[in-house]
Amino acid sequence: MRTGRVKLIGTLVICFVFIFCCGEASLCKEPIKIGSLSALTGVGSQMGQCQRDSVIMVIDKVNSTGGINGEKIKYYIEDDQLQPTVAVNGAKKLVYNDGVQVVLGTPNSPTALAAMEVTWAAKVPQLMFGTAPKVTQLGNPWIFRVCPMDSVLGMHLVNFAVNVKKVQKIALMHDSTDYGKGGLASVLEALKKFNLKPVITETFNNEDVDFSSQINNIKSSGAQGFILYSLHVQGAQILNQSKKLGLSIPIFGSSGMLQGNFLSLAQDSAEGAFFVSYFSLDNPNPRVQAFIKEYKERYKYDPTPCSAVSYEGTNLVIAAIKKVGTDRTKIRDVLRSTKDYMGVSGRLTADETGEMGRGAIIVEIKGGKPVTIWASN
Amino acid sequence: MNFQLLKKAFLVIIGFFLILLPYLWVNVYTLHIYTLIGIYIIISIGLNITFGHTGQISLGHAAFYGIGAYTSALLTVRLGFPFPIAFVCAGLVSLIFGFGVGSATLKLEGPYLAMATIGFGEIVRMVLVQWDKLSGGPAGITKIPDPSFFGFVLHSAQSKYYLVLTVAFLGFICYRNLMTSNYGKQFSAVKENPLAAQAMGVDTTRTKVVAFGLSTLYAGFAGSLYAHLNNYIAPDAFPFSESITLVLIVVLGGMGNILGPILGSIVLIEVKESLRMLKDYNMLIYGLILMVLMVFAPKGFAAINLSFLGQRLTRKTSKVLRS
Amino acid sequence: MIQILQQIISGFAIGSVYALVGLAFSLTVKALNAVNFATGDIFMVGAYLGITFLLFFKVPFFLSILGAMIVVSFIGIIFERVAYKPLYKAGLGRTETHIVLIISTIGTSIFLQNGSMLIWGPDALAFPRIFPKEPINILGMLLPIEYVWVIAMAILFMVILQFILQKTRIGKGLRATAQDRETAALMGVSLSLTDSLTFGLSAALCAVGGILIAPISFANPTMGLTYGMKGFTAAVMGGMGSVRGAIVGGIFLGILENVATGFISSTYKDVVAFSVLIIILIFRPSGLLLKPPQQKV
Repeated sequence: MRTGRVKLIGTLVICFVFIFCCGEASLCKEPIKIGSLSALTGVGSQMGQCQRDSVIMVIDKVNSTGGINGEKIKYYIEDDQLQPTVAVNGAKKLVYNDGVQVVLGTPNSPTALAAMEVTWAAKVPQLMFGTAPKVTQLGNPWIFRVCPMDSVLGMHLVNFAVNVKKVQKIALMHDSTDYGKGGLASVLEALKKFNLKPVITETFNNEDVDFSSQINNIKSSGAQGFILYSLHVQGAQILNQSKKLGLSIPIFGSSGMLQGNFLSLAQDSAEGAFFVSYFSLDNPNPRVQAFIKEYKERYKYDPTPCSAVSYEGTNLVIAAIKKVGTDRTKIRDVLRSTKDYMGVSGRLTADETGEMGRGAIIVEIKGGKPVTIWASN
Repeated sequence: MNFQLLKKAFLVIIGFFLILLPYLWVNVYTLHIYTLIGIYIIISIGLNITFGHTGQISLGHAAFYGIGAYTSALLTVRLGFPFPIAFVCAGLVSLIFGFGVGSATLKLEGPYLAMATIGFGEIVRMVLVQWDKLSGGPAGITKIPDPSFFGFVLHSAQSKYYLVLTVAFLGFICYRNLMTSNYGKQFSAVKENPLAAQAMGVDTTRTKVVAFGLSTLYAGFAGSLYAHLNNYIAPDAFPFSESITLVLIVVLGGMGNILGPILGSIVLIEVKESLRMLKDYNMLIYGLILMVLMVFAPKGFAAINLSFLGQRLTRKTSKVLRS
Repeated sequence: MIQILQQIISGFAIGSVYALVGLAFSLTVKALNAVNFATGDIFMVGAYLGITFLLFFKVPFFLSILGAMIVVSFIGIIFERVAYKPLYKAGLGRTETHIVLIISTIGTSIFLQNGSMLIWGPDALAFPRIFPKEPINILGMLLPIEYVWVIAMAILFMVILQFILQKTRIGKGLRATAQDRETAALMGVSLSLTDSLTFGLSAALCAVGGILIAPISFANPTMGLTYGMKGFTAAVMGGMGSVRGAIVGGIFLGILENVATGFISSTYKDVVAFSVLIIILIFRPSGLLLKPPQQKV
């Protein structure tokens, strides 16, 4: 019994000492530090890893030419495992332990919101890449969203379907997560502007395997077009099954679908489908092509839209630090004054809520590749 | 050397250390981890009562933690309740659910009880995700106010740490007193030999339900603290893996061991944070560690047979000295 | 009407995969008296391995299935020997043994999931298109050939399993051990061997299930969680430990889910499924098919 207690106490002491050694104070002049928070393991790590890959690529390149004004940038990469609790821990580590000037992340809205509580309280600028509108509606002066939000993308998609493709009777299908519900809201709002309502609305869960029930309902609803708000794996599933079940109406998909390896999963069932996005591999702009080439050479896979906006975000941050140094308030102010920045995604102009993404494109899949057929100004 | 005196002195030193912690050279991140450990200690004390002492496994305890968190968050954000009342309500609402689930699952054991509790945990999480009018949906509830008592707001990391430390300490004292009392011995009796216990006049049914209820009460309080600590909650914060973490803490600390929840929480949370260093291999190694730990320390850390090694070492040394 | 029939048939196909996973659970529960949380992830590894053999090593289809089954069985047996056997030999009480086994299998589950993400990447993997594209038209129903294939193969493997369990000596040993460990040991059955074989068999069934579902749905690292849960529900519904029960339970669950999607919204379908599971656990834990066992005093 005695030895048991001693071991217990001994372990406690060791643990305390260990915890101690994790805290470090940085007292010298501030070196340049950028933090990246995203899901690197577990579900959602496709996007999280794309973010990390872009951030590292940009910073390594800048460092190889001497850094910012001669000073090299240190980067810190943290994993949030797509869980808010872990995201908070990661954000606190970046802000308080590592002392970063800016946090990049996350591509997922719940974890971004969790991390935001930390960066907001600590007055650290945060650039996120998720699409839920709530993020910029809370009055946080330190948050930025680099990609266009759902309501903007939804508007462009509906606009294209109704105005360009002349579809009046629309079937709508969305997943049961926040992303899908947000998509539903933005599509309904956009349709209202045309005095339209969907003829049928179907939902599904991300774990579902079989969508034949919903697809058959859509078939018998008389819809002329099908708007689908989904992530890329489920989206590919649905497209595959739609084709098998003989659904022949045009499909208009959300930006969440054209990520990851969607095209290799859907193959020919994506042929002729339209997607709204903010980045396309076929953009002839030399800046975009240079980015794609550099990314592909380094990482051996094509950059995804998430890679593109993370690339934008990192570049914007570096430009700001170059201009005003490491003062976080000044960095924030420079970012807030972004106007008509043309990078590799759409046009970026910051407003007072932190929204930056303005441009959207519609791509059509032709011959298995995305082809941009329409772009907003 | 009087062992009792030594033990008391040691406890006093630890006590000083804990109280002075925020003023020693730790930063906000480390303090946050400590505070989180405190919250885990509270829930795992509860889980130890029902699982470690009474033998009723619960693999869905994160749900009660979540129910407490949401209750407290909704009461303060939507209805403007003051924190102390929201805190108490969080515990009570969790308790009510706990009595419900505890009574319904009385007759189950082993894998069936495990599955029922998992099922309950998943249902709660799914309802929280879907019923967005109530819970704010997948994006959760933001801008949860800091804990405050009669106008005195606890905003800094230090003050939150002290709040959690106090609650954890009080919770521990109540727990220890309960378990060492005569009434408390009933819990272990139900686990060791339910039939004998019944023969001795212990109402096993009531004991099980009381144990479960107590565990959910603790979980509810911890949930409230969590919500106001982070100022944000979402259904994703209470997944099945969190329930696993809680059970793991109880097992590693030693099931039914009074100090178990404290030891287990410190070690496990520490290990999880340190694994961050492994980047992509983080979770892979964590899975491996789970399997290894179960093989080498199934009874928890307190029971690791180090004395065995110590004996062999002394024997070898005396052999060498003799020759 | 046709639509409902179509839903039933696709439900039957998916349900037979649930049944295979349920069988895998039942086998290990009977042997260990504890739930193997890694069952779903072994299923997932089976799916990935099958696709890998087919796609990257260009192994013919049936050999890929066999290959995946063998590799997965090995993996299952290794974990059993190294991580689980020491636990039920450690002489802990009943509840403690359950729990440490559960935790260890959860560790295996996390290990397999993350390992597979490191090997194959975190994204989904598609099964190569070896099935004809045109669906069969039966009585006006459009049935993709994959579904018919799944049903046929699942039935085949279940028949093989029944044969092994009923007619071979090994099978009889497995059943004897499941019924009464001590007596079986006294009769000369090697407990150690039977336990390992049970695991191997369970893992092989998972692998088959994984490969069968892969043409219908992609392989992704987290599919183990979903199918594991469904398989477990199937096993409980039919009576844990009963081969027939797992099969009936699985198919019933598959059909129920598919038909329910049509009538209730898809989103609350899972809540319904879990609630049904809990109700069954509370009121008839021995499942819908078996008679409840008498409480021994």
